[in-house]
Amino acid sequence: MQEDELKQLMKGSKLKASENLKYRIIQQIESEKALSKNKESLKPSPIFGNMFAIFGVMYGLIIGLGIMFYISGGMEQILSGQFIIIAGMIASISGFFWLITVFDDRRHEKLMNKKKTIS
Amino acid sequence: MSEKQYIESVLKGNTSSFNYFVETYQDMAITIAYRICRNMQDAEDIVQNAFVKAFHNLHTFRYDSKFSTWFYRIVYNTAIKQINTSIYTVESIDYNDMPNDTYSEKNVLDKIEEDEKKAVINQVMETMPRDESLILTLYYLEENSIKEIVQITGFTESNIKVKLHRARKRFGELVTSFGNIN
Repeated sequence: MQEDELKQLMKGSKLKASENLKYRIIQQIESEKALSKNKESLKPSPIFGNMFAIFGVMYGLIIGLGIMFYISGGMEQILSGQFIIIAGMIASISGFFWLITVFDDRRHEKLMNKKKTIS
Repeated sequence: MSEKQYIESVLKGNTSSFNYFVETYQDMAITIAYRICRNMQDAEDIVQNAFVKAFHNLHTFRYDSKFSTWFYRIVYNTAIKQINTSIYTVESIDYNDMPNDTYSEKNVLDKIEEDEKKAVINQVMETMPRDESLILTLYYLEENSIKEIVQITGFTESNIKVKLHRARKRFGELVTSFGNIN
């Protein structure tokens, strides 16, 4: 069969979508768009959640340490270099840990977005 | 407006601009989906899902191919996924009853002949293997190049050339036999 003849015959094989398909498609898109907006507004920011947890524990530890030092040696012990160094170390480690969690959450979010686009 | 402008408009949040893509590509998308699933209702579901996926992933379109190539790949993948995960019953359709394109302004006998011809062609496409009927559709109806068909289906270039050769031969034989029967 000649190419032109085949091409001519194939023209009759194109199907037509039903009239309401376009409206169904647009309606589904609009509904999903509206739903995703609601979800985004309800979703709490993970950064602040992590911040309260990590720094809450940090302050708890420092206060606990302060109480121990106060009991063992009074105000002098709290103002001593030893307490300040230990409290500083706790604060640094907590801050560093918080940075790692923020970085990990961002990386995880990017990975999830990438997976969504591939599927 | 060009397609690029429509895409940018959609990405800016103007959903109504996506109507352009639905109107332009829905018929061919239905044809592709039908060639794979052989069921009109499922073909419409596939096309609906494909358009929604295309909308959500429009930001990933890099303009390294035609929009149609990118979109038909989504339709193809959606159709293949659907037939792999569901049990299909093939419905027989009387193509004489199917809604047609706009009729030519010929007399009634010519119109009947045209409709009969369309019915024969669609019956032939229905009888052929899915991949062959799909490749014929993409190559002759949409006039995609071999490279574009590679991008849409994921078959290798040599595989497509072989299938196209077989499909042409089989199409010719079936048209002759169906034409004689009718």
